[in-house]
Amino acid sequence: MEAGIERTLGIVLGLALTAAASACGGKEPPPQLATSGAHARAASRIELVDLVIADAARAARVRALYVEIERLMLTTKQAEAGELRALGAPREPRSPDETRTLFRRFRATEQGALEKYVALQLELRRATTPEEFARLDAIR
Amino acid sequence: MFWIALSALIMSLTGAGDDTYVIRKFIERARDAVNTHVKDEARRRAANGTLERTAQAFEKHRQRVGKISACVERLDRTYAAARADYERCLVDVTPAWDAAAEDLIVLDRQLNEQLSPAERAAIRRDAEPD
Repeated sequence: MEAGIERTLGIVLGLALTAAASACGGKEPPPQLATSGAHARAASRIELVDLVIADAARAARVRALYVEIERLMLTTKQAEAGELRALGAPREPRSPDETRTLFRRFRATEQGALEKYVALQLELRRATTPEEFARLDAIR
Repeated sequence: MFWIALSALIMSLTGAGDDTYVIRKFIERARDAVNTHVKDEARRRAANGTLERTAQAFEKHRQRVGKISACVERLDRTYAAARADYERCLVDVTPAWDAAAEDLIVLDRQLNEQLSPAERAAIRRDAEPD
């Protein structure tokens, strides 16, 4: 139940992010964190895997991978929001070392998520054929 | 001084912010506040220069992070992409964030040196969102 709600929220958020990106101006979406883009792409595909992959076992595996990506990114966004609050707190003077530490924490959260994400992306390729992968990629 | 703008920058990168409006507004208000509160012309010019370099540093970081994201997205769309390809995309994550931290440290220090404590307090009061 909780996972279902999280997933629905993720899809809504993903679609909102995609819409916001395309609404913000013209040909290219605004720059964003790699985890934000990855989250939006995975969220829009979860419910559509069965339409692309006929084999039930592989479809379940691919859906599970997208759900895992989405959970990873949701956790990452929550952690980054916490780091963001710490960075934005108007505490002055802030020493250079403190600034470096705050930046490093934010970056470590992003980088850690991306390393896990790469492993999931590679697993996704092992679970799909090139044709299925291309059809999933075409979903926006 | 720049923490509000920094929060806004990161929010725009996470997709939670409204593009770069808050950052631009902050810099604009800070510039107006410098012109109002700093009577000494040389220090006023120097402080405005620092604000300009801050706006440039934010934009540079935004573009740099955007390049990493675009690189990852390109690989996500490529079936043949391998771990080494992703690693090449991510090689700038640490340098980009470390450079942004160093830029902000330097700019914040410069602005501190250019303003008196009273001017700084007044500018911060005027520049930060209501």
